[in-house]
Amino acid sequence: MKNLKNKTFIITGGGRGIGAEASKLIASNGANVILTCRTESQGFSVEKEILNNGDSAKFIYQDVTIENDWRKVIDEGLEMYGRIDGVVNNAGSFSWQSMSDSKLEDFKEVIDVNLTGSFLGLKYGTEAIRLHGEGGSIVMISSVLGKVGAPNTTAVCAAKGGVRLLAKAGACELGPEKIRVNSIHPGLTDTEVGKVFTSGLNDKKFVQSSIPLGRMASSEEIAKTILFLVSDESFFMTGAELTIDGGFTAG
Amino acid sequence: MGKLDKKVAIVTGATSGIGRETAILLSKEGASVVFTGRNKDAADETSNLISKEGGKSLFIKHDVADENNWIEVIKTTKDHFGSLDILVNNAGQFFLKPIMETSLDDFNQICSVNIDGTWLGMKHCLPEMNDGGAIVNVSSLMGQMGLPDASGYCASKGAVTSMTKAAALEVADRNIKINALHPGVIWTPMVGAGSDGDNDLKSFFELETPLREVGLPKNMADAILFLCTTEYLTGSDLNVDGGRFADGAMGSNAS
Repeated sequence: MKNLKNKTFIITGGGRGIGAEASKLIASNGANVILTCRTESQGFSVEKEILNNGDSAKFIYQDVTIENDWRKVIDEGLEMYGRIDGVVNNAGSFSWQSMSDSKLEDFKEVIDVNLTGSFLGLKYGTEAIRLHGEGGSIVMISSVLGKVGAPNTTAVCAAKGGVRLLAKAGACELGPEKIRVNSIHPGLTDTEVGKVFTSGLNDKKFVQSSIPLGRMASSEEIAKTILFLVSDESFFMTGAELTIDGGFTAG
Repeated sequence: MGKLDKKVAIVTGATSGIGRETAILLSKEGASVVFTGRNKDAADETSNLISKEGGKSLFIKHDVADENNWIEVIKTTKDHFGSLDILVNNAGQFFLKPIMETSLDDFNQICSVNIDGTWLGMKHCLPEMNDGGAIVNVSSLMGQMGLPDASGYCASKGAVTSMTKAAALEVADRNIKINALHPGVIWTPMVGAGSDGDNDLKSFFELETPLREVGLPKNMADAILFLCTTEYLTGSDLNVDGGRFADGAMGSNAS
């Protein structure tokens, strides 16, 4: 399966969880993967795993909220691989706290990483894709919390809801250039974030009782959805929101 | 190694368009495919296309609005291929008529195919289906938003969208995934494609779509295959519409 041969994708937050699995899966489908994150040890470790597998990857340190970091990632990517075909805006920041306990800086931190970071990924990713003019695919990792509310998640819901419509606006603006922009809305996933969330629950049966499929998603399952959205199998999809939550928001 | 080796699938409305393309793709991925429809001559073409790729298929003449017909289709499927893993409820009807000129008979007719047909398929396949299986209901962008002169179509597809979620919740404990696909304008005979296809109409649809394309049956088949193989997606909606849902179907008027 080398459907993505000669293509290059940037994956933010690629050092662990969903981003790491997406990096490995997209690389194993033949693409060059530029994975970025702030924890260098994790980034280099994923890069090494991909290279050991005989696939193509490069880790670059990046803070997604900083414009210069985006310029650096794009420039290095273009220098190494000659073209960029898409961005997976996966880097995120979460905080579970009541609104009254939240300080303004906590709120801004979550908005900055999730929403501003995704905007910059859309903006700089688009610039890079335009250089070859053959279109591309930008994937936003939102959340079910970008579609429904929950207690103690004001910042996350505001940020992820913003990401959801950022994708749609981007899709409308960039459609004529064949640059597709879609959002993915995972429910509870077996990542660090998911574990922190579930460890804070008073009701340990929450997962089984509230998710119709009775379990959390694995990062690999979300990664397969990302692969679908960057590949030509989703050629006619843009501005769509793909909810992968085991039925959590179905009823 | 196909993605659907040893699986058995039923695809309705598969003598042309999205259904035919889906039957061919599922077969390419290793599934044994029962495909149904009302047009025997068109079915032969689907059969030929599948066998040319080395796939196994069986055509059954099928009126999806007829309950006994469904029971026969499922029995024949199990007799022939031994089990059932996948149902693609694709058969559908479409017409444009202002609501004031639409008779109750017109309305009931489209509802019987689009709603009853989908519901009967789920009702009778689920007891016979292996745990871990998948159902894809082909709804429509018009199952999520309005279209003038399409009250019957919108009502029927809205029903498909909602009952997909209800059914998904009911069988999640058997790990059966049920999702709705929402195609935008797909260039099929249903919307005007064909040997005498109207290129002005095609250009109009392209301009109305953010991606500036009409969809092809192949694009829908790819999305249906994704929904047949996904492990954690259920009760969900997949829009494959070139961006029409995202821009509220404003099309080129928006820019």
